[in-house]
Amino acid sequence: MAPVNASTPRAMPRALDAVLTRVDQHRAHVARAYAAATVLFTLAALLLLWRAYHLHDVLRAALGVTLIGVALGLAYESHALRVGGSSPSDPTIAQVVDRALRRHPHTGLLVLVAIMALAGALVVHFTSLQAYHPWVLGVAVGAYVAGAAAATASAARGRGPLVD
Amino acid sequence: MTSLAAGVAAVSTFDRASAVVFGGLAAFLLAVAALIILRAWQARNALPASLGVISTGLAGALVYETAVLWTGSGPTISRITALQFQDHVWAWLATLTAIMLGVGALVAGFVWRPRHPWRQAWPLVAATALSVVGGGQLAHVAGWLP
Repeated sequence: MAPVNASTPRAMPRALDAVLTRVDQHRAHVARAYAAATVLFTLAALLLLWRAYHLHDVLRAALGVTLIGVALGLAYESHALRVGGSSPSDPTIAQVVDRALRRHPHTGLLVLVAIMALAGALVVHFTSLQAYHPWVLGVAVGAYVAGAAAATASAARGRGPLVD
Repeated sequence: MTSLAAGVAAVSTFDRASAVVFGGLAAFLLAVAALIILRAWQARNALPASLGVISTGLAGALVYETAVLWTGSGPTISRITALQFQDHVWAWLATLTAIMLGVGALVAGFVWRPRHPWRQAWPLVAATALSVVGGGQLAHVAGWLP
């Protein structure tokens, strides 16, 4: 019979506390990063809207409004992470997307494939004034896969987005 | 001269047809954005509101494209970006790389699972990466150029 370690029952909660503290610290850190990005995007949007107003430029105004939308999403994410992402009324964006992908995996896959195909088409469309540059598409795909690899590796080490 | 005039007329007709398509898309996107913002307002939820505002911004860009194609005055969005790419290749590539790195990280993050991180994420990442290549090739083969 294996010897019973008397300290185990007390050591377990302490280890759990340490893990939870680390998770909380990670969440707080990411929430601060999202808050900083919100401020940055808002400032960029206001600058664009101000220039659009003076130049009567619809395109700058459209970009400014889009950036305001992105900043709003980042602000939401920062708030959701600050409250812990555990409140049913304030799930993180990753949790919302994860839930949608679990409920409708095929629709989710189709939507993502369509969006990324459009992105690839636009990359070619936006760079082919005089000639077709397939290497630009290669750079785009390489960066996309590298971003996915970095995020997955980071998540696997326990420092990534906390979906579950 | 007759063939040149016919070519110009054909391009003009093509631009007008494109303008109608972009205009229809802009109207649809604006309607969707208004609906999303209304529902977000009722639910007091910032997340759908942000999606609605982003859709409004994209609709604004489509309105610009429609106006340019319909009137023939000013450069199209693709012309602006293509000229920027020609003049500032490295800055353009750096921006594209940063965007695609972020998109890749987001997609992988959305499907990440603690128990099987690689197995869960990679089929989706591979499918979407292939669709980027497919979309680009389709745009090239179909002659969808500025």
